[in-house]
Amino acid sequence: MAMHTPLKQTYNYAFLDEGSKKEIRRATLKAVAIPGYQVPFASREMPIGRGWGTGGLQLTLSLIGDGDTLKVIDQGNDDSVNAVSIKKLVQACTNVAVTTDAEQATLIQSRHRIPEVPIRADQILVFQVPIPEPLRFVEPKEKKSKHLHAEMDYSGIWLRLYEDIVKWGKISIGADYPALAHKRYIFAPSPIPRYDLPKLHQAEGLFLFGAGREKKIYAIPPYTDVEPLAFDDYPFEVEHFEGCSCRLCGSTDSFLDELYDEAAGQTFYQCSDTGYCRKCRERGAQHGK
Amino acid sequence: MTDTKSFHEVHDTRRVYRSLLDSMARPGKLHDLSPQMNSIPNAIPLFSGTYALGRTLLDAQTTFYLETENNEAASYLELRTGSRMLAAERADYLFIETQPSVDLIRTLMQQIRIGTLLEPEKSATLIIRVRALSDSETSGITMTLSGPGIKKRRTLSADGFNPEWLRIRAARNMEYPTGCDFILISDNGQMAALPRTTMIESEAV
Amino acid sequence: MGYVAVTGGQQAIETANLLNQWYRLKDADHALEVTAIEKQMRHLVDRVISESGLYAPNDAALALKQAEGDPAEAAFLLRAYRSTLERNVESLTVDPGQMRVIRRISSAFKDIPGSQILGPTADYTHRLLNFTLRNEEAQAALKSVLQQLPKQDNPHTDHRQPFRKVADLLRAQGLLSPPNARNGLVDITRDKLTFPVPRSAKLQLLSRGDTGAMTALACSSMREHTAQHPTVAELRVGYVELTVAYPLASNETLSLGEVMVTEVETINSFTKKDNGDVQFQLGYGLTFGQNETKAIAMAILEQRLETDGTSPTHDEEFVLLHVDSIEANGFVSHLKLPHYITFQSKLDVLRQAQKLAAEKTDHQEV
Repeated sequence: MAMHTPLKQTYNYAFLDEGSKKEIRRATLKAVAIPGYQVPFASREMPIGRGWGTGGLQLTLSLIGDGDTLKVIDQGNDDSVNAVSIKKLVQACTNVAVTTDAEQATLIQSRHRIPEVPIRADQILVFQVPIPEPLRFVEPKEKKSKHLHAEMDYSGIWLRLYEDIVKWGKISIGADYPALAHKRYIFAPSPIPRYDLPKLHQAEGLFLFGAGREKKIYAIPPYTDVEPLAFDDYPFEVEHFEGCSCRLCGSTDSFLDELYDEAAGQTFYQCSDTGYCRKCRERGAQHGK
Repeated sequence: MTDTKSFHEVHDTRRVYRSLLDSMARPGKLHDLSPQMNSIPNAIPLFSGTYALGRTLLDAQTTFYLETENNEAASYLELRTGSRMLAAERADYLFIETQPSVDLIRTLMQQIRIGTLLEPEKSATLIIRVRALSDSETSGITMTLSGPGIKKRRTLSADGFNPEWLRIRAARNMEYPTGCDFILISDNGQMAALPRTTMIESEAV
Repeated sequence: MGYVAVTGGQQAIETANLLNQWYRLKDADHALEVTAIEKQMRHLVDRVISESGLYAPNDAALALKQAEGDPAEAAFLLRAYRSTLERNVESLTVDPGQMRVIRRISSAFKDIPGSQILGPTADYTHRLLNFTLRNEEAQAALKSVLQQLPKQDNPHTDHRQPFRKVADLLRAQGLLSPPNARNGLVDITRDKLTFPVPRSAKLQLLSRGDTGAMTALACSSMREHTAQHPTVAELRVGYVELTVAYPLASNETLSLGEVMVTEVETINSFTKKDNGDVQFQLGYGLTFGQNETKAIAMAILEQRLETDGTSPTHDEEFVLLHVDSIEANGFVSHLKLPHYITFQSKLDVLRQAQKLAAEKTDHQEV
């Protein structure tokens, strides 16, 4: 199937039937009204695998229409196979414009990253979420973790962080670092790096989170407090890239992928946000002239 | 049969939804629904704002309550959406097209669902028709809003909006996350939302 | 520099798709006919319509062709297609007691009203590879089968008269509680799933569950220390009629045709009810198509989920969140996606922890 082949008439605009869209939309509106709270929804089966971004995809399809420009990234990369596959599907059933430039997009669907350039008020960032429950690693049962959220009983997760410090000398959570939304709900920001987490705090844009297999939608509205869990004497820390820069564009202020060149026997760094990296290089080339 | 084909089930409901979502995400910010409302024929027994939002939100999975002066309005909305009209205490969405008395406002606001700590989403959304909405101090009541979605503060003025709604809203939204969400829509299609997280200061209250 | 970033996703997936097509067709003399799959791969088609929850045998056959015979992938294709279909009407409740039965057995009673009907089954054949199938001529073979069949078992004879269900006989004797009244059915494809899950949602989830996963879980529940060995009160396979209310006259119905289902009722140990009655507990299984092992597994799991206990099969989150083929396959296979970011983030934490550990050790040595 070529990139622009529209799906045959058998499928509705934006794939989902209108009843499904309505349900997703109603859940999304509630999610925005209760920041960080996981609203259950009857997640539909999508033509991509469960766990491959079906939650994000359903959100995107419930939102998208004429006038939108879509960007899809996986690990920050527009050209990652799954990002391409999702973009292709959305395009086939809507025919909206797509872009790799974060600043041109009205809708961005992402797996594991927030673009380097801040999300504006006229943009929506949709996250694909594997495990929406931040308490899952301290409380395996959904029925119980739901009660813990209701009673704001977060002692289990705090204890876990404390034990981490005793054992490792620091909090050992890598990506998907839990944070408190609007001083009420602890939520999972999806497996974005810690580096991206502060971008959710008092931001200009709207952030929507979709977990298809786990059937949850939640949101961080603009200008909402998002506080990573931390202790006064063990503050929240982002990933360290001291002394490293992108080997392609030279950036020292972006999240870097670590790469190993076997031939040279050396470790290299490269911007994880490929759209940002390309723009930096283009700008650099212009200055060079 | 009333001709409603100019309001597009797929594209107009989506546009209404995007406005609604942005309204919820940025409480008090005005959105103009008039292009969608103008595509609805005048002959229907409903306020076009009710129709546009009803078609966007309602289906057989949901229930509504309608406060109207037109006897045919409820069954018309049921027919058009597949949703069912229920008593206020059981409705997911309450559409208030009239200017209810203070007593009726109190009764309705006491009856509506506000969800539970376990399921705060099982709460009512009220869609209240007002005469006019503005983001500057004009006639009617002026509200100063703060909370999620608002950078510091925002001003919203509503004409034809009984301050009693706000008084009881404050009481019912006392125990966050339980509470109810408001959507205000004016005669000419201006829309603004007041989700439960929005703190409202007003001299009228 | 030697390193080239992994990119070119667009081209790469086009190529992957083309190669997949090439492998599908490279040794084919002629393309498989969808109807042949539908009519001759009966159990595979039945499995797919059951796990997808869409009674569309011909579409299931098409999905199997597309998926090159992978039932999980075929069920997934149908599910995704199903989720785009508008819900126009809901059928009226089907009474499996009115089933046009083609097969019906009871392990509880030797003699049941209407008698045991073995019907089409391979249960009593030796599992020897039948090499004559290599050179089978369909029409001749069919003719030979029909000639050998006793007259009274000619499949064209219609067992139209319904059989009373074994469970109803037990109920009539007060050995089994009456079925639960139809109180507020949940539709798992339309309603949010929240725990604890209502029984109607459990049954729907299990009915669409993965045959292999359910069989494994049911098997474990029969082996463990709290094990109960259920008795199949009745297993019946046949056709039930689907009807809808006639839109213009509320007391009339319209027939949409028949679907094939397998229904199983198992009897487990007895229990003392709140009102003091001592009665058997029933397990219930129902699937689209002829899926007998799955239907039995469903009855076992359903009953386990309705009773308290400490074994994994009493745990509704454990059972219900893992038996769906589409969800389990999706989540396990998503590990094939890149996880560079999470890995980079973990790498950073590990290095910091190593640094701290080293500093601590240095400090202690001093």
